[in-house]
Amino acid sequence: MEGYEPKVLVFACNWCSYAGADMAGVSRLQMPPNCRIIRVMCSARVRPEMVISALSKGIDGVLVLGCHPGDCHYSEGNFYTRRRALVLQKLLDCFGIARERFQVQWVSAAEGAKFAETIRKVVTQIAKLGPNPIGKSDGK
Amino acid sequence: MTKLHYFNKADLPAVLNVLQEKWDVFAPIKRGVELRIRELPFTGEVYLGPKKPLIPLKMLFLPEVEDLFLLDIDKTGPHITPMEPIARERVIWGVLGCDIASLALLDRVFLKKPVDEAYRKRREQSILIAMACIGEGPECFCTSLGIDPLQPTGADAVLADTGETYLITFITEKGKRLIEALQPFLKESAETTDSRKIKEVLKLKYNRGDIPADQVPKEEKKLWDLSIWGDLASRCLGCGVCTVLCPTCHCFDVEDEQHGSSGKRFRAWDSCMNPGFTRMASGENPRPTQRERLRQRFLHKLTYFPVKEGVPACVGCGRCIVNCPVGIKIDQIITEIVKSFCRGD
Amino acid sequence: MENKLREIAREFLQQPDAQCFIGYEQVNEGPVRPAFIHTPGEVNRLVWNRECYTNLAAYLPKFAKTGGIVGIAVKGCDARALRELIRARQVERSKVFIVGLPCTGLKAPEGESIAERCFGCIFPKDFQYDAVLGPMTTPDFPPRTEDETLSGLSPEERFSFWEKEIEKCIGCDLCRKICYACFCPECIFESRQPRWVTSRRSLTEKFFYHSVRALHLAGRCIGCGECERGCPAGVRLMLINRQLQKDLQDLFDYKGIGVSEEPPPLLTFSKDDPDPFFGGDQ
Repeated sequence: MEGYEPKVLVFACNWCSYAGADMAGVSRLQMPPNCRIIRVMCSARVRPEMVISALSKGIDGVLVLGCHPGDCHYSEGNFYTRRRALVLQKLLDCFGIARERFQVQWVSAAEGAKFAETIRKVVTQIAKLGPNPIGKSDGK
Repeated sequence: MTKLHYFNKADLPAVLNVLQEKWDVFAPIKRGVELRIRELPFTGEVYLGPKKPLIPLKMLFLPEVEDLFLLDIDKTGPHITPMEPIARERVIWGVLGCDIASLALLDRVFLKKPVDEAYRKRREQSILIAMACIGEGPECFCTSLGIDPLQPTGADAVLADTGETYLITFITEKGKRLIEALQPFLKESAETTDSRKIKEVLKLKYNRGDIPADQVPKEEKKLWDLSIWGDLASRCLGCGVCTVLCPTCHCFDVEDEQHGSSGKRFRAWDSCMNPGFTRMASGENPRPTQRERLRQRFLHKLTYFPVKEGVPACVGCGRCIVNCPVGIKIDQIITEIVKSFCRGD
Repeated sequence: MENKLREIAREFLQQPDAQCFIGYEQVNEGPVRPAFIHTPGEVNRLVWNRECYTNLAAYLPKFAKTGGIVGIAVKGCDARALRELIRARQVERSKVFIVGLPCTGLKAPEGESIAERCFGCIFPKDFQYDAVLGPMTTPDFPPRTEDETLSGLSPEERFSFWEKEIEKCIGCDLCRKICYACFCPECIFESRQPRWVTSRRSLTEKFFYHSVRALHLAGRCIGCGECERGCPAGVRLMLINRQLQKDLQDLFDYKGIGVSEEPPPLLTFSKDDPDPFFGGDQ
């Protein structure tokens, strides 16, 4: 959609992804400004309710970034994240909400380039979808 | 004497269209198995008959949610913008006797000082066209509450279905204002208004006149410790369906929403069946279990309200009877209480 | 069988530590409703027939803090819920007296055929009851047929469908209150800090409600369908719950709550879970 700038919420885990974001910043990598990044201690901190709340209030996409499975600072957190993400995807499928609007990716502290690449890719995908249809139908 | 008019059923869509030029028009709309009062135009079939819309008429006078004011704070200070409750006058079709009667009860709450301005404005700006009703099902007992479903009072006009036509009696000055707009469709009936005429055409099919709601003792002390409250509370889920669907239930919560330096205050329906209804900031709850909450609801309808206003806060529509998932029925409760007092329990 | 049930209940209520017996009753040929029997003299109120829909196990967490033993009559499906409640420590096994009701299928709303919810009945064959009315087996119900309502719809069509369904919702909370799995003393939808949903109950807040509830139930729903049957507005709640149950079966080979050996899928993980990537991602 032309001229449309999506709003994307990014949850980044403190130990891996947020450090990766720092790395991307320090390396002066170009990224679209559409993201609001929220630091969480572990990707497993992200409750599915947070994703649904964001989407239901009109956020165009939510991205959850965590450590690679096996590398979680808290040993198991991202295994739960992964499971929850799989179920949440199915729920969004059922409601007809585009898969691209909720994504999970593993980004480690050293992967500044991957962080930037992920942000670019996700924002492009969501921009193509257009605005989130959920907030628009709320007449009340 | 007021003249009786009629118009052909086939003209109903045109009638409603014509009215929409000068008024907002509301009517019960059928969509599949769902029957709800909606503002026209709305996809679905307009329904005028004895089936009760799921959400009663109160939704148009005390809306399910209503913004009260907007608040904005800028460099010059706070600015409050009150919300207008109603934009233009409206005509509400197909209102059944139970729903019309519920307005009279709600009036006693909202039109008493301090007057609820939003409610009052909506009342003033509404032209109500009642529907003569033969009763929907075995749950109906409005006649026990002194309501005549075939000749509902309190409306601006009354409609009766004769099969091919709708007989329409314009009662109040407000109602008569519709005559001009509907001129192309109305034909004057040869007979003058006669309530017996309508009763000849329509026969009451479902209604129970033997529920002794006015015989429930008015002394709270007598009812406070009845075992029925505990019995019912055991199976009551506290879901609140009864409070949403009841034409006379009117409790609401007021809440604020904030977005940065602006916000809204709104009110929305609340339910006394909800555990948190009376919970206070300290955590104390004067109605800690379902027993207290359920007792309060029925005492309010059958004792507290009648003591203050002289009539029970129930219109005998039976929506709660049909929809309660665990079979708690107000007619049974009334009957049991009155019976136990007759027995001298 | 009703007589045997009443006999068992009567004997139970004669015990000194018996608190009450939860079963079904039917008054004046009205709908069957839950019954709470406190004295042996009242047991003749109890019935057991093909209209005993309600999952009585949903009432048990209320009794958790009270003294005494609670007797309860459960069908096989309800026993699944009971098992989960015990596992989740909402009910102490030693404080319930469980009576098994052998079931040949509940009645569909119209006519005499078997209710749709009974198809594909998953029966916990190894559940330990304290007493039974007969052998706890169940007839071979035909498998559940896929509900075709959503299949073949594009995402936009699905979204449109759910917009219409959720718009019907009147925000009464019956689905939440009647469900055994909703036992949280502080429900997320009543939370004040944070305030996830306000009392406004707008369409988007209803969307939040139904999505989150479906997620909270994922893996714990027994498919009794009481939420949908009780919904005054007829919202097709079981479409979501059944879909998620099927998805969990496909993703994690999960048989169902109260039947599977494993805990509900969202309470655990496997190192072999697939990554949630799609569209040619790494």
